[in-house]
Amino acid sequence: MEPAVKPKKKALMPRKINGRFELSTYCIDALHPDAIWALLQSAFGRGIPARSDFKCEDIRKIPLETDPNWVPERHVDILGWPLDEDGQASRAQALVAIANGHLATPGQPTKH
Amino acid sequence: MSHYDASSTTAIYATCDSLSYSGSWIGLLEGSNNERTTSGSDALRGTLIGKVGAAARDAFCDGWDGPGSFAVRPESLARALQVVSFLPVEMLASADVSITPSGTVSFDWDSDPQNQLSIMLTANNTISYAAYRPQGRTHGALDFQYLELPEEITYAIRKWRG
Repeated sequence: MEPAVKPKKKALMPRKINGRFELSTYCIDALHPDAIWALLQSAFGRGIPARSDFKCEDIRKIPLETDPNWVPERHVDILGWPLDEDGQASRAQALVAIANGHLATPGQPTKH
Repeated sequence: MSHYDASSTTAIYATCDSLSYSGSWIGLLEGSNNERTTSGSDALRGTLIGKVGAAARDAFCDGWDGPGSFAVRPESLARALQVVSFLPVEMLASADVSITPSGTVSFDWDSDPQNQLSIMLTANNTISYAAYRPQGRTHGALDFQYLELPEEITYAIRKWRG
């Protein structure tokens, strides 16, 4: 059982990439927790201390959009962010409220 | 073009390697942390100002948090210090300070996911806020003239405190 952790709003704010605001995530459908950690380590090239999981249907209720572009494989952008920062913060807070946070456990990749 | 209809996703917690920098304005922030110890509330405010300085030090250059992130705005820092002086004393210790990818100073109270409040120093003379409660969400951007917090934000603070 992975230790639960509360995510922070600051980790879920979007970044402006190529003129649009997006939050980078990965699809974890049908993946074992160990495979999820391996996917994230592979994507970011290092161990990570924690992650937040979301149901896409909950994301769409915020409302935000999911764009499963699969570049790289399983990559999903969260889009639909307002341009103003207070609007972005409001939706990031809503993500915090629906997130299931997990800490990496010993034996899994960790930040170095 | 979507190749897959995902039903669940995961995001990592943002982390970054600190940049080493010791500019004069950072020194001012850290100095105020040491000097303001005349009362309990002053000490808490000084500690919070120190948190602002520490967050700003890590966000001094564009790209500090990856592509698309901007350095902290000096005018946001100056107004953040003013906001610290207006906050109720019981909110000081629990405040989380961060710099957003846009270079904004953000004060966050989000230890309870069902009762969150953020106050952000964005563009010149503007203060923004976002509040989340199960009953609803509110947010906005308001003029900030340094004399007092806008009424909308003091109301959001009252609601957050219950």
